[in-house]
Amino acid sequence: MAAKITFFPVGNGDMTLIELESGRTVLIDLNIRATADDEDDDTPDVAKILRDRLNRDSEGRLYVDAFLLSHPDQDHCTGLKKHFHLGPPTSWSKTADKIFIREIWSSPMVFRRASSNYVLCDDASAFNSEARRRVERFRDTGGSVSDGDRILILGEDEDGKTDDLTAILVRVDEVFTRVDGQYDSSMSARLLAPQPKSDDEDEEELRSKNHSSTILNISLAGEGRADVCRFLTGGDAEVAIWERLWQRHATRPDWLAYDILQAPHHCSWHSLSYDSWSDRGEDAEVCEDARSALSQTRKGAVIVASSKAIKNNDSDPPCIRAKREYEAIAEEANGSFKCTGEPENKPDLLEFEVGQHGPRLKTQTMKASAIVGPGVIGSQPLAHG
Amino acid sequence: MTEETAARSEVIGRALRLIGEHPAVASIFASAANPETCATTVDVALQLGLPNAWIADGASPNGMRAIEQVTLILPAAFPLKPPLIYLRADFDRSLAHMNPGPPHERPVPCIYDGSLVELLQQQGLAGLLNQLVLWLENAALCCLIDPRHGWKPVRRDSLDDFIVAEAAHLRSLVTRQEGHAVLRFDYLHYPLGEGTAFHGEVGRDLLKVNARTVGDLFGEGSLGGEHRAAVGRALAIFVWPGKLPSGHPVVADSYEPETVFDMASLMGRAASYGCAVPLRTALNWLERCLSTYTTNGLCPIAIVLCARRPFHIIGSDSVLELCPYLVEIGAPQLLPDGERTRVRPAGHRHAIAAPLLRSMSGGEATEQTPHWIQLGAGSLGSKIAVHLARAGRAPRTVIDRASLSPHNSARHALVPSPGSMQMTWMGAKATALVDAIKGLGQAADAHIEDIIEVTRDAAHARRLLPKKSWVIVNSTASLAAREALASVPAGIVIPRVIETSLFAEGRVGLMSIEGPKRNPNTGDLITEAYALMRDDDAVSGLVFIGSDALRRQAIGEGCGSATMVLSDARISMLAAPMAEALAALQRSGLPSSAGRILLGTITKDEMSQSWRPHEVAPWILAAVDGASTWSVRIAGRAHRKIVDEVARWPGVEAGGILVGRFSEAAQTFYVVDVLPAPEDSQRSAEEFVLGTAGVRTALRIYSESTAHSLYCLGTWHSHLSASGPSARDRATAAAVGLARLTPSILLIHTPGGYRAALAAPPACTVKRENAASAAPCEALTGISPPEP
Repeated sequence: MAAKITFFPVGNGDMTLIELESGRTVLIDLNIRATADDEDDDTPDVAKILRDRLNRDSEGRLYVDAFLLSHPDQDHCTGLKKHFHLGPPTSWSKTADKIFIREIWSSPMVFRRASSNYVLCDDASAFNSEARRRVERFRDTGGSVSDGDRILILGEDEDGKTDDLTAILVRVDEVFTRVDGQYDSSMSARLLAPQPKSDDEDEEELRSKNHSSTILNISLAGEGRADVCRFLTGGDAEVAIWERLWQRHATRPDWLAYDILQAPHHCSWHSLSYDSWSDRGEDAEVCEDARSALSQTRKGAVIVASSKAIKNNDSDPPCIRAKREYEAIAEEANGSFKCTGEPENKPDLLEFEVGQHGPRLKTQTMKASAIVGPGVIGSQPLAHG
Repeated sequence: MTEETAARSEVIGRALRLIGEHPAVASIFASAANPETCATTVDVALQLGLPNAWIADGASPNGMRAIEQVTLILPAAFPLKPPLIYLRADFDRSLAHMNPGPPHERPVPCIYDGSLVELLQQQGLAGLLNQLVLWLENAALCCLIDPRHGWKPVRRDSLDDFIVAEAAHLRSLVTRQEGHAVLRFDYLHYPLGEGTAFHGEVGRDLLKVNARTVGDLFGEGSLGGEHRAAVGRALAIFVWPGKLPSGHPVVADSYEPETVFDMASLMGRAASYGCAVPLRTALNWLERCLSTYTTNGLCPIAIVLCARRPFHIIGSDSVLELCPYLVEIGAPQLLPDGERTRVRPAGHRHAIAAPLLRSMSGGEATEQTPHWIQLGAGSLGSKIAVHLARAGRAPRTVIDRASLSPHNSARHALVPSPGSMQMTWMGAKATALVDAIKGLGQAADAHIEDIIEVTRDAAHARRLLPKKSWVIVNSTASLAAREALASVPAGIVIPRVIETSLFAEGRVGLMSIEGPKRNPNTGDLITEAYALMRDDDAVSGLVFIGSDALRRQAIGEGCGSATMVLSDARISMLAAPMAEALAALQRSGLPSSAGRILLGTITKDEMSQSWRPHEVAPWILAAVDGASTWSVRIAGRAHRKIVDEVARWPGVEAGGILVGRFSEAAQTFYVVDVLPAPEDSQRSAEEFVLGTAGVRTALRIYSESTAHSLYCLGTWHSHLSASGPSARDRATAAAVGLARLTPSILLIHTPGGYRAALAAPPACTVKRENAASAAPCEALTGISPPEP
């Protein structure tokens, strides 16, 4: 069977579903905006698209095997409370029919207390509570937890709050092959970040949410062949993180090699450069180490920006200069650059099928709705004289 | 510009816009319409979703490009006709799912397993483009042959020669070792265009070929007339592959288009399928056998190669693909031009046979269907039998004593042929139906016999109704046939009976299935069915109409009467679900512990119908004291009520009134229910006295509610010990017998089981005034005597 990676069109935000060859599903971030839930709005109904791709378990619950929140920003978790079941499995309600999360993949940030520098939106707070509930459940039961109570902590907490959680902890640089507590031969993932703080770093800088984004390089099997696709995803990680990653791994670039890269922070210039695009324009300089970390392409690699359409102006993200840089990186591998918000994809998805020959971007079929849809009727007022 | 050409150009304009909007279309270029054909040529560049690494290379390893150029020609009749699709001239033609065509024309893909005309109407131009892109991508990924759909057979659509062969039979000859078989081959040889063509059929019988017999195997005779056609007989050689030195079977797993045109290329093809050796062996032997003969002219032989594929062939559950060819041979030199002798690839047409029909009807081609007997080849029976024959499940025996009459043509499954004097519509129904079954490739025997006589003669019954048969389906609508089946004499064993009948001008259908060891039997089941119909207001209102007791014999029982008016379609409405139910029973088996009644009704909208199943437990049998040829059969419903009533009156005798039906032919009382004893009944340890209060009214109401199909059968009472009829019982029985023209029964419930006393009228005529004096049992006479 082929695996699949689907990038949902969610504007400047992330929402990516991996369907493993084993059939298990991993959702990375979500951004289900109110407009997407509004039938009268043209924003793609991503919740419906997601639900259509998920299976139901024997108790009738639609589920994902794992949900990773790369970092607790609004554009990565909007819609969590509305569309996902949070709380003990026993409280799942058939009437509400929310998506059941078998296992949460979380950064150790959930142990951090909110402060003026660390303000969380409603959905992020809810995620934190749920993650902490699962950790408590793990502690209370001595590790004997099942679907809906499982959690995997990606990275150690600097204040030692994960010291007793070895069984559910993945340390940075480690590779893990478990999904929902089960060994899964069709996936292995290397945790590249968040990294432990170094002595010379500014404490406040480190504490910013973007800097603590989880970075994973996920290796997928397709149609029975292992490692036919590497997917490098890093939330909103910024230039300093990528620079340091290259400094640590320049001698083993394979750790950063990818067939598909999710351009960090919605194609932000700040993942490639310390300079401001809006201030310095074309004079802004690329950080070569960060660029190296983000250019370990395999043949034909595709870089995907999960963002709004990229305009030729000084906005950032998405940034036109970053897009040019990524296009150049892709070009070196005879690959390509794609953006979920570009008109050619609307209203469809960027969907990669991972078969024995590696990933391929599936051609979108023409839908009946594109031909016989109501057009402007119903989407805007139409005056009749 | 005329209005017509303007409209035409608008149609083309919209099509071009739609093509341009397709997500896979990178560019589009349309030429002006051809002034002669009015066709518009559109060159389209399609961006394919190839794996990242292949896009980087610009092409797939098998030469498919990341951007493929395709030409669509929109014909004048577009959008009623689909565009012609051409690939670039250097496209790999050896792929599966490629339409056959001459090498100088651009290749045409076979993008859809069906008609493009229909696809265009169903899904529009966008659907057709979606399918084209999917085809191209699958071609690049080498997955045009999808194991889930099956192996695509080598295409031979445009061929002139056809060979009919029963695939399942040929496949059944294949063994683990490579080998060959020689079968009879009948053919029609006729002029076609500038040449000739063959249409032949490979038979089932294996032929022994030797120098002595081989001359008789060939022969051809002209049909005469202006067509210059000839019919002939020859032989077919069927060859199949064996196994590899490893012990694994030889599997031909690479798709190759048809390239055979002479003996050398045929041998090459046979080698790639692993059957070159048996083919060579068979041809060498044939040449040796023919070495002393001389032919004037050439004779065709059929050669059928068998290729073992890695997964099942599309439209079949077998991995064995059959590839037929025709070669014209001579003698003494078998191959007139040696290795360069022409070989004609022939199309394979399935023989009309049960496996093909089964697989077309959603069944398994390889399923072993049971031997069963269709009794009655009238309107309902013929429809059921033909439905099942078309599904490859025909009866092996058809019994009907009647002949076709003109009025049968209104409702019979068969159709008269045109011609004078209705010659085709005057034979026996059984023979006509069997001929139709044989036309559907299945064997059956016709018996023009009376079932009553068959069931009364042991040898006859053994021959026509062998007990190992699966079932007898009785669609005769004959009460006599039912009684005969329900009452076969001791010592004769027949298969379980399934009865199909229609009631109320075809508004109600009944299908009853006997239980194991024929209990409940078909007599029990019709009695039970009457009781079920009585309980159902909608059904009873349709079925039980009229009150004249004697008319019950004619109430809607089937449609055997020429006077019963209903349409062919109405019979089909109920015959079709009955046939489906029979097919389902063939697959799942008959009920293993009970009988079953299926009651169906057509609702007022004249289109809908609903069917309800009822399980019927085996009936209890009671012997009749002093009358061994008589029996009483008791339904579960009646038995439970008797047991409950006995339990309600401990220490005294209890009793009540029996209802059901009586069969003179079977000498059987079918007790389907009991009515409670009236209030003025008396119970003591010594006797039970059945009172009279309200009994006549209750019985009248009960009997009328079934139009006298069910009626009073007699009484029941209990004995406190396991004893037979007492002297008092016998006296009452005599009185009851005197008072009624129909025999009655006195059933006795005892701790040791049921006993019974017959209350039959004396053999001589009983006068009515005598009957009136037999109180209190006179209340039991439920049937009014007929009016003089």
